[in-house]
Amino acid sequence: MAQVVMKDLNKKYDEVHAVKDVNLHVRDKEFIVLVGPSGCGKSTTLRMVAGLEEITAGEIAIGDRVVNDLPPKDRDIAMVFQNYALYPHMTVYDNMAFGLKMRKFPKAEILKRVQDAAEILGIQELLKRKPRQLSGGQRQRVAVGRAIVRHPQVFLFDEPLSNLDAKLRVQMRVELKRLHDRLETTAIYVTHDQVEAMTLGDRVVVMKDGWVQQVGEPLELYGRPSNRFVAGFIGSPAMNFVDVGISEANGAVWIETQGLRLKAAADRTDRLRPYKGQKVTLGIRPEDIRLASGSDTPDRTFESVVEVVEPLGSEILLDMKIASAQMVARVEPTVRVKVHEPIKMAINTDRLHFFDLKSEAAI
Amino acid sequence: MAKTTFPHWLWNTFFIAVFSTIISLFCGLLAGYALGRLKFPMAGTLGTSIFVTYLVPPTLLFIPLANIIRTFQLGDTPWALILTYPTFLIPFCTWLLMGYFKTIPKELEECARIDGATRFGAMVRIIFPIAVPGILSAGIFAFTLSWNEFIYALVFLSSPEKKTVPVGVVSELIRGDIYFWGQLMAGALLGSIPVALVYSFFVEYYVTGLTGSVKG
Repeated sequence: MAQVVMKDLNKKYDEVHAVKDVNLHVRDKEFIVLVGPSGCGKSTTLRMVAGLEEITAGEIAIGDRVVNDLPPKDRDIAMVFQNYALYPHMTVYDNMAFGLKMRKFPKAEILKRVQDAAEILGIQELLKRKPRQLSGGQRQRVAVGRAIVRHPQVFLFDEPLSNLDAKLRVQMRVELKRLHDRLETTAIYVTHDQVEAMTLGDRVVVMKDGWVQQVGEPLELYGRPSNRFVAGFIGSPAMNFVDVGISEANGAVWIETQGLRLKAAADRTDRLRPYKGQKVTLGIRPEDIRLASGSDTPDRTFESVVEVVEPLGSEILLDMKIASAQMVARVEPTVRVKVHEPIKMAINTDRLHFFDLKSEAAI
Repeated sequence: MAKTTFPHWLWNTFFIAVFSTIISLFCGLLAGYALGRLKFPMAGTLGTSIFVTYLVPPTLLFIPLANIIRTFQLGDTPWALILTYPTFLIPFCTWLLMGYFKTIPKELEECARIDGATRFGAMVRIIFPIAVPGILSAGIFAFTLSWNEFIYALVFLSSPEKKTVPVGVVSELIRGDIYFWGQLMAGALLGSIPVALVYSFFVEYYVTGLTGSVKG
């Protein structure tokens, strides 16, 4: 059990500055997820915590110890790799016992711990097999088992579910969450999959180009993204972005572009007023667009043409074209629309997002 | 057969081949691991230059080597060959093992290091056992190369009873223009049997060693 503190963490390779000034306080027993597109520095950050990459500048502390110069074996961490990294020449039992043997635990203790872990993960029958005789899901379980037998202070996960097929991934995701609730160990989890990040993390760290973009609880990231990148990265289908002009008339702030004229919600007017006469990026979540009904006033509706209908069962995605842009709406599964015919849609104007055109920061 | 020095030759060849193989494997393992795994400046250049030394023909090297052998007064002893064979065996083993080590996922080693092993411990406990097919094929190749080696053996050994099979058969069983065909053929056949045995014994390892198949 320990907190992990990263202070002004930097990593430079010869020409690439992979991690830039990362400051992060992972609380004790917290499950924190680093997420971002490939090459954003999330894995490098994790590997620095593990001690597999040298730290160019900054400091990492696990518990109360600064671990910058400690070799991986002395950091009291356990790591699960994307390709499982099971030792192919050892049985499952030996794989799980390896870390304990290296630390000279008594035999009885090793046996007990391995059996306990095997029971938690439901792999008791596999202990005598070799890794090549296991399926992908079983291998992943063994890899997790190998990490938990050590009772480390911190778990590190490097995209552990990426090699599994979609169904198994969902199942293992739930199991990992359950396991974390049970073990109550600090965990740092790296993934490029925002669904995994949202479902697993107590808090999520979004990274891009080596910078931390935002740290927050999953729904906070979804509801109040701090910039355009986070807004577009979190959520599937992604947020719709349209460049719009801001104007003021009749005491209200208006959001305008070709084919779209919306009245800003009252609580947004103050923040938007400084942008009067300028352009900003408007962000609309797909679920905030719906079919217009009779009670919708014109200041929150727009005309569009549906180009593609994607029925997903529990919902329907509509790819629409309005005069100036392409948008995706997520509507009820009962909605029936005709393709290529004009249709009137409404927007929940109190849930719009605005971003500065240049800095891309949320307004 | 008992009347000739052939058993001596066979023993000499075996002794020399085994020793030079062990020396070369040991050096090749460590060098191959370092070149394949550790990041240090000039690693690539060093790897290539080791390969290039393998390309220098023995026919060019035996003259300076003969000088060295004489200086150390090793002429006409098995050590003359045991110490010179590694000049071409080490680059060979290093190169082959380096390639094999590169096929082993580095996560295995990283995981071992997190699990509590030092880098050396991870190398010995995880990487070497996995690399056994590669090590065996390097060993078999090295053994065969030294078994068949001709030019150094011809130059550095002169007493009939100290010769190796390839040299002994040619130099002792041909007198001027008289070929003792029966003995020659028998000697060649008997000399090739051990190598054939070694190959057939390890053939499975040998194939995986060359194709490299490590799965996590």
